[in-house]
Amino acid sequence: MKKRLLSIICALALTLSLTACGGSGSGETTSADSTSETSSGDTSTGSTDGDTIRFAVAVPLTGDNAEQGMYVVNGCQMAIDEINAAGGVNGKMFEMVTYDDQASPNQAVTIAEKIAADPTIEFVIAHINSGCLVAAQDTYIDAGLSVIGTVLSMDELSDYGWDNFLRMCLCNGDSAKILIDAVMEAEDVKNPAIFYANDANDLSACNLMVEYLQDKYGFTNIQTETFNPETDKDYSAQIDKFNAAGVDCIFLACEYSPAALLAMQSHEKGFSPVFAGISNNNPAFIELGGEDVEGVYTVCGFDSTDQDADIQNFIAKYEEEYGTQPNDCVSRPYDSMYAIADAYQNGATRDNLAQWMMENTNYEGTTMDFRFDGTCDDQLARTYILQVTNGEFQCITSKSLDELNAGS
Amino acid sequence: METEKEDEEVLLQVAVDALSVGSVYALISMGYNLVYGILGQLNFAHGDVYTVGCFITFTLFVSGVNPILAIIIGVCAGAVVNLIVERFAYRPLRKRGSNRIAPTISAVGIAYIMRNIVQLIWGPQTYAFDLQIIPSKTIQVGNAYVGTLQIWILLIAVLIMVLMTMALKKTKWGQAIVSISQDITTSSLMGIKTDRIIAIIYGLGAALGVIGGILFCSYYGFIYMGIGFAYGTMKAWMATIWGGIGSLKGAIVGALCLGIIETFVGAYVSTTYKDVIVWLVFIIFIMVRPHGLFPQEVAEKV
Repeated sequence: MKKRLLSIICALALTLSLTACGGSGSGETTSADSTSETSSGDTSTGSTDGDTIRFAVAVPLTGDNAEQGMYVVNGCQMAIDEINAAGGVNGKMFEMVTYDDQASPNQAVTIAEKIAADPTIEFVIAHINSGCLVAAQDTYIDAGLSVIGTVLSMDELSDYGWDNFLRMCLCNGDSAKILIDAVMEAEDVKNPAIFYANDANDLSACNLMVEYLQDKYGFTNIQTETFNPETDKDYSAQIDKFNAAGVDCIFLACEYSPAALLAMQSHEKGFSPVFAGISNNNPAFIELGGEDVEGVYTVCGFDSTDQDADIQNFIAKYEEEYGTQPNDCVSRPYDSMYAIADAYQNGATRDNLAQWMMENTNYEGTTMDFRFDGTCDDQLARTYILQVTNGEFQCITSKSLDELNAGS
Repeated sequence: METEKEDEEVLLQVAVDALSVGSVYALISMGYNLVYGILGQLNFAHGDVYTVGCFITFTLFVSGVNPILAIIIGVCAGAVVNLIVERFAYRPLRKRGSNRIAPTISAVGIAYIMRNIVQLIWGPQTYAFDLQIIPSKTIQVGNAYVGTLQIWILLIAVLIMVLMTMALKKTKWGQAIVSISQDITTSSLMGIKTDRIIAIIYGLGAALGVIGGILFCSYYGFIYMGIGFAYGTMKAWMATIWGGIGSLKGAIVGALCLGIIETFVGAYVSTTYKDVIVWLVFIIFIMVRPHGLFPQEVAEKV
């Protein structure tokens, strides 16, 4: 009897620990301030009176993409803590409800239905994977919910013509163009290649980079190699092929971890091309890669080396609260929340938030600015080109979408 | 003529890479093969259990603990975690006479729970991993580069295989394990304390897994919560089937085969369709040799 009781207690403890991790789609966390309160199932304790603006954050909180998801949550949380402490928006407090989409389109649809069924949710900070957004959009549109993508970078999202969707960052293609221009100007590149993760987002970025290198710089037969981000950590075969082909510059369309590993494994084989990646601005990139990532170029949505007092306050505060340096997966949601607050302050409502912002927003944030000119893309989103120098990111140049379009 | 020489140099480097990848898989596969071969259970929690041991080793090391001591504690911790899992998740099912599917499903559940516990404690970040025990130097042989760590990994895998094989043949508990692999009920009737021996098998399997995991992390220079399933359990499972269920020698040979096929397909066929081709080769192989290259060594030789 005792043994059975012990078994049941252990099973319950394990189950509770699972739930405490942020859980799956059935669990949600409601938070109006930094002291989060956890609720289970549909029994969220969020108030539904007129004193709050409730919004959903639907990102991966478990699984391989959980790190990026947590950055988005942290960025939103930090912003609403500040906004609420300053009196909220027209006296209303922001209240965030987090949902775990597990980076899975199936799960994204399930939680989108949950969000749509909750009439108190006013808008959604939605997904870090474009595939999840595409899968869930019908549900959001039917529910009349505005969707704000803070880190969604797949180019094709601009072509859907959704009027409930805003993208608060540059798409991969534009970031890649700015990166390629900077690298081509700084380095003597004769034989570039692309290394990309085999998923929709990075494949799209790879194709755009190949096209740009061909069209603008006249390169032909650009070698592209891929890997499975879920199962591959050894890139020997790709490195051997790059080396045999005499590649002298590799553009990276993948997260920071495989990018750092590629640099480390290349150097072990005495192969040292120029590396330049579109998603490697995480401080952990330098910790992981050490000396092997010295000189690597990457892009970032904000310049952490800028000595502007507001930017440095933002960085210091984030480090104090979360123990790590913020990257643009934090800064974009942070400033996006301020831009949304500004929209509510000036007349936007649940029913017209995205439309209102497309037409009216002209907001200067701490790390980035917002203006949409009637499109879903932030025309003032700026890409900063960083290079790892003496173990730190150094900004070497930057360009906004506005400037990129003016130059093309 | 020069092109031919360049091709030969690339081939040599690819062959070295293939053996390196295979030797990493080999260490991880041995612990998996031990449990799978003896108890016939598809232990999908193997990778996630050794992840816990690896993270404990990592945490102790960065806290200033001697790396050897950190490894020993991590290995013991992995074994203890697996003993607890065996006691509360697998044994009750075995006692109720369930078929082999039930513990397999239970293992999948444990894998998810373990992974979430790891995320809860250590977060989803990727950490640099270097215990600074084996210097990670690269030796140049002609135009090919061989890492000293790769050589160590292969040597350690072979050493563990030899020690385990001897232990199974020469020790009392080793013979008890062999007996259990043939029939648990009969072993029990012969006076073997089957629960204790099965617990030892799980503990040993996890300990070998943690050793493999630590070398995996050292080789690639990083650790994160996902090292268990995709890089551990699935590769170990494929290597086990390839080499032969229940054969430690098969675990090593199967892992080397897997590494060779993956690397050569990636280098000479396609990185885009590498997984598809590797799985296709795997399916054809098990159709031809469903019991692997070295089948049922433990069960049939005694």
